[in-house]
Amino acid sequence: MLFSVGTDDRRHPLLYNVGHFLRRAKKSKPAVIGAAIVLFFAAVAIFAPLIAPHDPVEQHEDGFDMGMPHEPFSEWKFPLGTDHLGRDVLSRVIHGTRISLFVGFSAMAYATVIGVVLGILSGYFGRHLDMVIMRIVDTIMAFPSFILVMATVGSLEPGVLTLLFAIGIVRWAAMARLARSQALQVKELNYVEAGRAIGVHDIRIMLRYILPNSLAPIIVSLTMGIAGCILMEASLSFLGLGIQPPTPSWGMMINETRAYMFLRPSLVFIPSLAIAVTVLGFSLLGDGLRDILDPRLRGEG
Amino acid sequence: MKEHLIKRLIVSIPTIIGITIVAFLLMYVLPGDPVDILMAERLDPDTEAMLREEMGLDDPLHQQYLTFITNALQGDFGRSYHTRQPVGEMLGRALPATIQVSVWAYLLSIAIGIPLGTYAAVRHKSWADTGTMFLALLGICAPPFVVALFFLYMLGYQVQIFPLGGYGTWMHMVLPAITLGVRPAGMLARITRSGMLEVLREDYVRTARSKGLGEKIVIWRHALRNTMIPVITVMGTQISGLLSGSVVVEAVFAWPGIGHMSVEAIQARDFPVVQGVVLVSAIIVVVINLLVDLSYGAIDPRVRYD
Repeated sequence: MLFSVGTDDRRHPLLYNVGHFLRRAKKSKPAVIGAAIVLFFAAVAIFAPLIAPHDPVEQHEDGFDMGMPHEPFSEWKFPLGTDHLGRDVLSRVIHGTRISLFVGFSAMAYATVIGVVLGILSGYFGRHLDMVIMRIVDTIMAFPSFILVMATVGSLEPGVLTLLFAIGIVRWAAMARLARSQALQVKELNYVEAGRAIGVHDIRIMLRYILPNSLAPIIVSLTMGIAGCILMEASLSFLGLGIQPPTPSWGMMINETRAYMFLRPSLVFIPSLAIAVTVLGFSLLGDGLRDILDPRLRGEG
Repeated sequence: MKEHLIKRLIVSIPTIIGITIVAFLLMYVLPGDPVDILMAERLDPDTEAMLREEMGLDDPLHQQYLTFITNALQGDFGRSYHTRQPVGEMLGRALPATIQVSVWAYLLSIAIGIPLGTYAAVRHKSWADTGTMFLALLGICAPPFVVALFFLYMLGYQVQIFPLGGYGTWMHMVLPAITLGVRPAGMLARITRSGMLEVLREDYVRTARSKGLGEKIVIWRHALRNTMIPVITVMGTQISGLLSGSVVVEAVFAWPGIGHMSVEAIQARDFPVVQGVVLVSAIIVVVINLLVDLSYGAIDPRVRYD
C-alpha cells in the first residue's frame, strides 16, 4: 500500500477518467446549459470579425431614420438597430463579447495562477510563510472588492491592462484561501506522507500530489470567478472607468446610450441582456461543475 | 467568551494595519504627486515647493505613512482637492445615506430570500424549486446597474410611481433599496435552501414530525432556526458586497452616499476622498465581520469559543 504512490490514486478522477466525467456532466442540466451558453459566446468572440455585419465603430450615414436611430428588427441592414451615433448595435454587441470574455478569462487566469501558487505554498509549508500570506489575503478580502478595484483603476492610467491588473489583485486572494485549505487537507493524506517518506522533493509533491487533488474546487471557483470578473468589467466600463471608447464594451455601450434610455430602451437593454446571459452561463457552468465534482453533494439533485 | 473576543481583536490588528497600508499606497502609486494634481495649470515653482514641504511630500515613505496614520487616527483624512472640505466631514455626511439604503436593502433581501429558499427546500426537486432557484441565480447574475436601469425604466418611467433619483422622502429610497437587495436576496435564497435541505434530514426533524407536530412548526421553528448559522456566516461577505453594489446603485439613482461620492471623486481625480472611502469601507467590513463572528454564540449556544 505504502508504495503504490506512482499509480492512479494520486490523481483526481477528473484527470484520468474524462469519459466518466462527461457522462456525469451530461446528466447535470445546469452544466449542459451553462456550457452551451459559454461555448456560444466563446465562438462569437473568436469569430467576431467574420460574423459582425459591420465595423463596430463605423458611423453609418444611413444609420438614421428621420433623425432617430433605427429600431431593432426594422431594417435588414441593421438587425438590432443603430445607436445614437448611427453605429450598428449588433456588430457592437458581437465585438463587445471579445472584450468581456477576454477580460474575464485573463484577469481570472492570472489571479488563479497567483492565488493557487501562494495558497499551496502557504498550506504546504505552513508556519511563518503561511502567517504572512494569509494576513495579506485577509487584508485584500477586507475591502469591498468593487471599491478597491475602482480606486486602483482610478489611480492608474485607464485601459485594458490596468483593468486586468486591478481585477486580478482583488481576485487572487479568495483563490489563495481556497487552494490553501485544499493543500491543508490533501497534505495529511497517506500518499503524500508516503511520497515524503521515499524522499520526493517538496516541489514535486506540490505539483504532482497536491495540485491535481486540489483541482476540483479550484476549477469551480475559476468558472464562477470569470462571471464575477465580467460583471466587474461591465460595471467599471458603465461608470466610464473601464474600457475606453471607441473599443466597444457592453458596459460602456450602456453608459453611452443611457441618456437615450427612455427614448430608445433597446439601446440599453440589448447589451444588458448580453451581460446577464453571459454571466448566467458561467455561473450555471460553475454550479453544474460543483455538483459533478464535489463528492459531498453527490447523489443530490 | 472574553478570551475569544480578545483573540479575535488581536487577529484583526494586522488586517487593519494592512488596510491602512493599501489605502496609503493607492495615493502613492498615482502618476504625479498630489501637488501636481492640485496645481493643475497655475504652476508657480515657489508655491509648489512650499506646498510640497507643507504636505510632507519630501519626507521618506515610512515617515509619510506614519503621518497619514496619526492624522487618520484623529479623524483627519485630509481635504478634498475640489471642495476643500475635510474628507472626514464629507464621509460623515455621506455615510448615513449609504447605511440607510444598505440596511433597507438587506432587510428586504432577508424578507424575500429566506422564505424563498425555505419554500424551494420544502418543494425539493419540484418545478417550484427549479423556478425559484433559477430566479435566485438570475438575481445574482444580473449586474446591479442593469437591475437599476430596469427598475428605473419600469417603475420610474413607464409606470411613474417612484422618482427617478435623488434623496429625501421614503419614495426615493424604494428603487435603490430594491435594486441593491436583489443580489443578496438571491444569495440568501440559495444558502437557505441548501442549509435547509441538510437540516431536514436530521434526526430531530424526524422526531418533531413523528411526534405529530404540524409541518409549519417543524419547518419554521425546528428547521429554519438551525439553518441560520450558514446564513449568518455569509452576512459578513454580504456587507462587503452591499458596499460594493452601492457604488453603482448610488451612481445611477444619484443617491448621496459614499458610493456616489467615490465615483465622482475618482472621475475628478480627487484622491483624498477616494482614499477616505476605501479606508472607511474596509474598516466597516472588518468591524462587522467581528460582530458576526461573535454573534454565533448568541444564536447557537452549542458554539463554544476555544
